Amino acid sequence: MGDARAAMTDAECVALARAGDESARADLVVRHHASCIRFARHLLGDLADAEDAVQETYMRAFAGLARYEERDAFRAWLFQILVHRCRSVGARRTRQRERFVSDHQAVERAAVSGDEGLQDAQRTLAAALDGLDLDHREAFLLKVGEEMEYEEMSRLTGVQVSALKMRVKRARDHVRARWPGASDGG
Amino acid sequence: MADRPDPERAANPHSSERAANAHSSERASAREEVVIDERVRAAYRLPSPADEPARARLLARLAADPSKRTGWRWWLAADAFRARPIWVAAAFVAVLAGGAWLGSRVTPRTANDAVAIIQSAADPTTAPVTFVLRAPGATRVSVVGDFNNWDASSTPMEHSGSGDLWVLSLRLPRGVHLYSFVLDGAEWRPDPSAPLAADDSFGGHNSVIVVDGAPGL
Repeated sequence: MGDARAAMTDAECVALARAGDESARADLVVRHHASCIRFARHLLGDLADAEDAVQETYMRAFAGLARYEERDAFRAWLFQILVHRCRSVGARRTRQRERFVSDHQAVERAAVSGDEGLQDAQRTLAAALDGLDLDHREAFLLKVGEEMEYEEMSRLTGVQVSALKMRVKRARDHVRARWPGASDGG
Repeated sequence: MADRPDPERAANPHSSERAANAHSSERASAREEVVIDERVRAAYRLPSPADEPARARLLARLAADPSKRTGWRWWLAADAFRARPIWVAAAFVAVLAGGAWLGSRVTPRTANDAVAIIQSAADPTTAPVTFVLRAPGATRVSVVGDFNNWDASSTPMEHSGSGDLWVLSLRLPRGVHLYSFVLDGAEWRPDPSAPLAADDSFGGHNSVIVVDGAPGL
């Protein structure tokens, strides 16, 4: 990314992308891919599913740039699409598991599939998140991982703030109970 | 301000002790929350070795995406003619509209050009459809859908003259179509009378209409 382009706001990059500037699209990918992929990866617990969700998110975002309103932050708009893509992937996976998988251990193996090369802390987080449903994971990761405000989370998930707070609290209790050494504060 | 003696504390010292313990417990719990959040965040933000290749694959896919090409490069692209159904439908409407425009050069236009253009291109593969929306306060209402490439300017609705009703009649290719209303060029609103809705991937829903040519459609 050149210096001039790096100094541009997301809105300016979006304006260029709308005008057909291919490098502006690439810049928007470079800027936000890391946060999108980590959110999808931890939410879905599967690298391949996460990559699919993020790819579809960007393709839909760029196909729908005309619908992007500049008063909204591009990142929030992107995450709004990503949340819905992840929900679709999660729902599809649940249906597939209900149809094809009955062995509980096989389900657990699938939940962390493709994680070769992850660090211990990431494995700890994956294990602590295990057993949380998608709604609770989604709220917890947006709040704690992405440090979003509840109002912003509500706008992009369509869930009321009070419900989000409850989900975050329950998810945190779930994670704390499974995090090594967390209960003793050390 | 000087501390005043707490009447409740004086009356029941055990109660105040319990309250103090509760506050202490809450503070400890809050500290634990901060600690666990920090640990989670630190682990969450570690990159995965798979992230970089995933980004490269996305950039490669975007580079090969025919929908972003403009001008002569689009026409020279080898896969430019691998049209998706939405483009076929859009092209179909465009051809019909173009033919109608030529016709309009020799015949007077009606009050609503967009409606006249599409209706005049009646075809056995299409069927008439009437969209109706009650939209109090709206000054412009359009129908957008896969049949007009989601272009709010191509199919404006007509105000009924009195009341809040907006109406548009046109012919659509038989099949299943996603659509939505656009109010004042900005607000996307699904059809409240449509029985079906599909996730639009932008946090809302599109309406779904099945055009099968049955009487009454």
